[in-house]
Amino acid sequence: MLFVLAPAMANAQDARLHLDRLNGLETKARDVVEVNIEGKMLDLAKRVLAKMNDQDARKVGQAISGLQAIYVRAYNFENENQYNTTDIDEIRSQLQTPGWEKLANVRSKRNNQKVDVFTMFTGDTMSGVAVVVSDAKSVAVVNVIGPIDIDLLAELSGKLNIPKIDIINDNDKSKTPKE
Amino acid sequence: MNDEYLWNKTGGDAEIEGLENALKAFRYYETADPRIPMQAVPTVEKRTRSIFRLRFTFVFAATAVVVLSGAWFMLPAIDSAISDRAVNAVNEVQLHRLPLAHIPIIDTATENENSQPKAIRATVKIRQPDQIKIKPVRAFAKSLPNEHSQVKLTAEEKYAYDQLMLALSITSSKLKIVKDTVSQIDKPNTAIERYR
Repeated sequence: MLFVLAPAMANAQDARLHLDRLNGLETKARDVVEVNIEGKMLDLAKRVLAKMNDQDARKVGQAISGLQAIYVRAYNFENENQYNTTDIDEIRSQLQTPGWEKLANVRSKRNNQKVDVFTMFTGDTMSGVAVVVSDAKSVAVVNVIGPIDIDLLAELSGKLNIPKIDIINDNDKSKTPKE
Repeated sequence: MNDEYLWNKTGGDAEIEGLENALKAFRYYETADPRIPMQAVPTVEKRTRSIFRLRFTFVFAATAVVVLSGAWFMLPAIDSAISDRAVNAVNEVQLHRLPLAHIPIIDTATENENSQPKAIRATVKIRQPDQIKIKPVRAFAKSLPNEHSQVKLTAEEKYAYDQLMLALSITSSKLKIVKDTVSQIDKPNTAIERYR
């Protein structure tokens, strides 16, 4: 049993990104969000979701039933180019290692926006997701370990009694460029 | 006894003088106030009061006749006023989304005692659920419960839940941005396509 599970567990651990490089941004950023949820705390949160009778909570519970950990770093800066782009490039370089597959890659010259979505699979099962979004005034990295329903999570944006957090407000303007 | 002293007060009689001195305290003086018989006052008062009551009763009866006849002719107007008040009350409940208990019960029997069946119809109007349309109130009651607040959580559970929800909300917002961006790229001649 252990022999069967061991490779999968090893791959799942491989899906974890090293985000230490971003720690230096905390002092420069205006707003900082850092969330690490794994192990017992994640189990506790899953149990809370299971207790609820809300339909959206049930959906989320299904979407994250196999989730093992989730790490989030989000930084908002007062002015443009306040952070060193090499810090975020170092995160992106981790996604070039074997195992990661590019799902989406968007580059826009406006605001120097870069969006990367990578996934890692173990056989047919998703073992990790990485989302890296950066522009001139903000950086956000999401690292999910374990299978997760991406489409469902995208649908649930702004629901579940959570305030809709949009870290990169300026990007919304860039999505509708002037003619 | 000396009769001259008794009738003309001439001469002297020690016995009569002694009696006079003994009864001196009860002697009549002309300077004292004349006493009016007590029974004369109430008979006069009684007479005036009964006249006043008679006049008052007449005025009251005349007023009552005028008011009642006026009310009889004004009955349709009162009926519509009560209906309006009922509709306003229901509207207020719907507008402010108050619970149904806030609808005031308008008792037509106390408002116009002499009103006829029309006024009772107004009461029926208030209580007919089909006519007052309370559907919006019901919809509001449905949206009120907060599932998160209904579940009793320990401090650890709440913290874990909040952390997970924060992480998921950021993740979902980022994924939505990616999804929207990719869907825009897929469409031909979109603004993003032109930027590329």
